Amino acid sequence: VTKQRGSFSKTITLPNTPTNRACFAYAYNIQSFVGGFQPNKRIRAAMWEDGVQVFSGVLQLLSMSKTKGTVTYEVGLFTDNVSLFKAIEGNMLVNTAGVTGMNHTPTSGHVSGTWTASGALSSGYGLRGG
Amino acid sequence: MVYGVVDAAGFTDILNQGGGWFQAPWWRLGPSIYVKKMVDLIFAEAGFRYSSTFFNSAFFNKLVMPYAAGTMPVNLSGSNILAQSTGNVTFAGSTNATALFPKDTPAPFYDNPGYWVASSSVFSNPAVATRWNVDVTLTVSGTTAGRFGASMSIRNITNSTDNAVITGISFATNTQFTVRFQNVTIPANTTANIGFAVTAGPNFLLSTFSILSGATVQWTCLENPVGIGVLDMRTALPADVKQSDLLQDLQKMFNLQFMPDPQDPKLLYIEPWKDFYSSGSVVDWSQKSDENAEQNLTNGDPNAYTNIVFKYKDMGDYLSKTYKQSYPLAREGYGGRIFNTGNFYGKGDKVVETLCGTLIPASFSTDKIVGRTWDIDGTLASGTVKALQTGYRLAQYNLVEGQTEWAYQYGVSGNVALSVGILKMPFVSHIDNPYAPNVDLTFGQPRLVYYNAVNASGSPYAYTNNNLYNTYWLNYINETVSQEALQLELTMLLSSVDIYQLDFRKPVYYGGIRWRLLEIRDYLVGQMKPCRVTLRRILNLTEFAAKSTSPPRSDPSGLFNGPIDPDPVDPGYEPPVNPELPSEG
Repeated sequence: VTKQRGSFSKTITLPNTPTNRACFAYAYNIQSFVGGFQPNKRIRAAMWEDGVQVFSGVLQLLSMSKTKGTVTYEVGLFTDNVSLFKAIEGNMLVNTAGVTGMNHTPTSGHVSGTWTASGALSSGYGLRGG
Repeated sequence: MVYGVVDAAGFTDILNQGGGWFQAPWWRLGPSIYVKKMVDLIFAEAGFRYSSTFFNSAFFNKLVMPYAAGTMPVNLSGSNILAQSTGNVTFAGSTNATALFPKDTPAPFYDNPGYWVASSSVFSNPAVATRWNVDVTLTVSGTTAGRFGASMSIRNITNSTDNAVITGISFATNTQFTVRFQNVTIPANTTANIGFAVTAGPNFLLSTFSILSGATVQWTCLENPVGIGVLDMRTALPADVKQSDLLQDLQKMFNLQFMPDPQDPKLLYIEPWKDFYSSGSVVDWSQKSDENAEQNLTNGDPNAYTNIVFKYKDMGDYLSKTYKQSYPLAREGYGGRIFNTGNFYGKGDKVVETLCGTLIPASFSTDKIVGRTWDIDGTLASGTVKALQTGYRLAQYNLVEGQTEWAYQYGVSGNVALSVGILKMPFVSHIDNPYAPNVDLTFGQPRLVYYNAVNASGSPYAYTNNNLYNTYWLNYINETVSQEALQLELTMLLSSVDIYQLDFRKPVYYGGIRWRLLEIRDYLVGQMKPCRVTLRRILNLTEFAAKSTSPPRSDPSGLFNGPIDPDPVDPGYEPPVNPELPSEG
């Protein structure tokens, strides 16, 4: 199920229109060293089809092609969604943010004060789930 | 969090711990963390949210992770005391003197627990007995130089007795010496001070003597049950478990389905499989299939497993070991379940094992049923209880009304435990209530339960088959591995609107019946080209309805209920004819 959008990628070829030329800052100009296109930066991108946004993610300029003076751009589209399991990969349970917020000094009264009938939903001593 | 009664180190109802009565001191109970709380913290830290009826249900809110460290750690250094005398104090030679140490601040002197009354140099013990090493370092001057004899004591002021006495101390005047009282127990709610008396020199007594300024007393704590201080709740969690392990175990237990919101990938829809598909309306894809393209149909289980095994991790405690000894061929272990697919062509087993263990309840010499996590060296009657770290377990908490009161020890007075009788037990285990079992966190009924729960007429309470397998996995297994199971891969022409509105929760209508959408492959964005779609046929299975089974009470000693009748859902289950019941020794 999590594959639905998490692993989406697509490579497309873009023509050298004035808009694309400006977006890519004349990256095909081999004599340009300064202030040109920055290939390492994250570029947000979206794609619409029939008025419906079918893709939202990032765009990477993979390569450019120049044939008889005609330039084309090969770009990759990737979803930048990180799945929950990727986001928490390697995180140890004991280091979960907020756990130390439950620190407290136990006493006999505090202990018995947690004995409520309805679990985490109920009122009682200390922090509760939810 | 909740301080459920979990026996991590042996309560008094175990024979070699006393037996015959049940008393739980508050400092032996550790806080269990609600699973819901941990899930919320994990999602918040990762920047995700969830929408889940199940996670917000009353049942899920009762799931807990029992205190992983077993018993609460005592920060002994938080109980230590170092105090100093501030001037020379002179006594007559025959005086039974009191050494004074009125300076417990500033550093390097300290009174961490606040037990030292500096103005009177009196140690005031808390409401439970404590144990100490006490070092007294002093220099004594006298009217006569030479070596002398002395005795020292830690007096019990409350009872006008001595907690500890050391006699025959030989010291030289004007020479610093140290006396150590080892392993001294100070009774609860008593006060104490340090006594010093010159007994005899080689030939004579000192006529007068002085304890010189700069003498110190160091109280080093060996045991102080109430000196827990601030409890670091990280000790409540297993140190070697990842956040993803918890979520994966929940997925394995409750057959959870995770689906990101198409428009908001940080929002996850999470429900058990049995509920996941009920929230979506059917989408009709009858006209989208390319009937000329190849269709692949797979009957039964595409993976062709012989068995599907659900099991909890074996935690190595006394009860799980006993169960394993009683049923050595039951490789699913206590609370596990083996489902035989009946597939002649099946090869190998699919093992779904959690990283967490379950918490097995038991009663011993009383009728008190609580979760137990300890192990034992030797027999139950005479062996030594080994407190184990409870480790990573998942259980449920319920406030259960027992048949008789249990003793909650809230303190000690002298040598007498101060307890209060409580009828309701904060019960933590895989079963919700041994006196009225309704929800069980095992995958399958244990063949034996280690407690004796009988009603007023002496009959054991019926056990429930409302467990994880039957409730969350049964229909899923039937739909995926039974002979009616059918998987279909076909070619469809899906529009961008179909993809935009894609929702795996919605059943797909095709060929006159409903299917579950499993996968879409080769969909090309921006191009109206066919793609491959995999569907699984929805079987019209009725929802599981729990039944109860009766333990026949074949244990001649009547100590345990069990073995339990077969689960009606699994008639192939064969309970042992002559189980080797664990004995009380």
